[in-house]
Amino acid sequence: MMEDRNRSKMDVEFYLLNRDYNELTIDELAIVKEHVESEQEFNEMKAVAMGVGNIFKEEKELAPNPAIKVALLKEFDKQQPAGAYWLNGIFTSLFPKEKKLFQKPGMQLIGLAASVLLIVTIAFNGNTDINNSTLAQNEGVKTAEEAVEEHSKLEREEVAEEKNLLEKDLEPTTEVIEKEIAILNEVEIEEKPESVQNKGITADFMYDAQPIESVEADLSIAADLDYRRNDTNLNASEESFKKGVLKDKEKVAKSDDKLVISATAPATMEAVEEFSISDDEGYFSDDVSAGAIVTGNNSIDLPVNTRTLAEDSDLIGILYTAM
Amino acid sequence: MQLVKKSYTAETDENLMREVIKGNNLAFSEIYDRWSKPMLNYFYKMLWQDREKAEDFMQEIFTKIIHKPQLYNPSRAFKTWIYSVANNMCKNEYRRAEVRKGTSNSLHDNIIVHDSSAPDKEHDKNIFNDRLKEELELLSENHKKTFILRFKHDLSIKDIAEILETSEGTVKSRIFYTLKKLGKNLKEFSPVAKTIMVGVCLIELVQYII
Repeated sequence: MMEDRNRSKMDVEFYLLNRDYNELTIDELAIVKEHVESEQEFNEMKAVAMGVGNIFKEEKELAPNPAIKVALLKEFDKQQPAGAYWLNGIFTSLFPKEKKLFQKPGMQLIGLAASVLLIVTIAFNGNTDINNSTLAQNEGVKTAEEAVEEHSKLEREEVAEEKNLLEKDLEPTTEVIEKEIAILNEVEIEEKPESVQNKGITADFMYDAQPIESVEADLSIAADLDYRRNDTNLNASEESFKKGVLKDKEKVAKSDDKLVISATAPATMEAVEEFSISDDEGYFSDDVSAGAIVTGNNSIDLPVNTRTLAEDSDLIGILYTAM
Repeated sequence: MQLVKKSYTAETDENLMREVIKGNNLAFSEIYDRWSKPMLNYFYKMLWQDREKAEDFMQEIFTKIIHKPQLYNPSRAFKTWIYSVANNMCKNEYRRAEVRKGTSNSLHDNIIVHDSSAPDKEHDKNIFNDRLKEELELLSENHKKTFILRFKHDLSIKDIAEILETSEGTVKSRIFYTLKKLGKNLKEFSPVAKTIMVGVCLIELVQYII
């Protein structure tokens, strides 16, 4: 309490404001009786002290006129040299405490800005609505056209890309071709004499359905015509050729008296005749899918898909009768 | 770079006055916000409850601070200093008023007439308040000032003594004297007096019935 902060217990005022006469202790009564003659006087003084306090509390405090502050601040600025301008000075001038909310310049500015923003927003939205309605119709048409265009464009691009890729793939690399030719030649050189020298041994040159001569021919044609479409096949055939040669070599080394002819394509008589057959027995090579079985007595059983004229004589007869 | 000047709301009055002396207008603004209301109400109470006069005096005291801030000694409490300046201004005004009216009494002309016939408590309270205001106006300048500073502005005995440039004992005796005098003049509003009055009325009523 304010009374307690500013009033000591040695003052009569303290007892007037905080105690009834009956509540006073002997010591307190002794202090009070130094100044107050009777209980009645104590009560009268108490009524005044309490009443005065209440009156002053209840009284509405006067508020100074805001214009006075403005005038005083102007006076102060005149008196003092001009200093720096501070942002919070702007704030106080925009939102002065003494003015009502709607009278503050800052609030008025905010209100103005808000109304302008509102008007602009409404106007902008109205225009966009109109535009959007028209745009919605056009958008549908446009998208269909665009879709077709885009589709065709994409197709064209894809084709062009494919073309490019193919062209890139088909570009002749002379080095590679030369190497391939060199490898094939080596193989040819290695293989042919072997087959000639080891006449007793037969080899399987029917790898990838292409004899050496045909491979060479193909390569030469490809080199001439820049033809590389079968480049990969060529490589593959080359590899398989090498493998075939190696395997044949191994097989020949392992069993000198066994002849294996394997081919994916029918064996020609010329090719077969080149090999001398020294053994009666024959068997299918492991790495061939189809092949000719070389039997004893220099007779060759051709594969199933090879037929003789004698076998087809019936068919020929039928054809003749039909004609 | 400092864009926003520091706030002075947490600063003491004395520090603010140091800044005012340097020419800081924000410090002056803060001082004004703190003390304009108490000063206005003090002048209003002391100068016959004349609002215009009170506002003039309030403006004048701050104008003095603007023009002669060096008059304030920062080693002294600002509160007692500003009240003592205000008190001196009131004294001068009383003297001027004496000269004008040819009277030593600083009474206000506005005498409130009360109607004691209303029985309710609120009305009694209003009557008491009005009577108290009247009695306060009848007090001498020194007693009134002391009483207002003590009960209205809640200043300590020490501060009042400093403001009025007198001893603490004198302040105490003035307060006690004022309470005693007002108590005597307003004794019909004290609880004991009221009880007696009610008793008398009851006796009269019983006698009337019989």
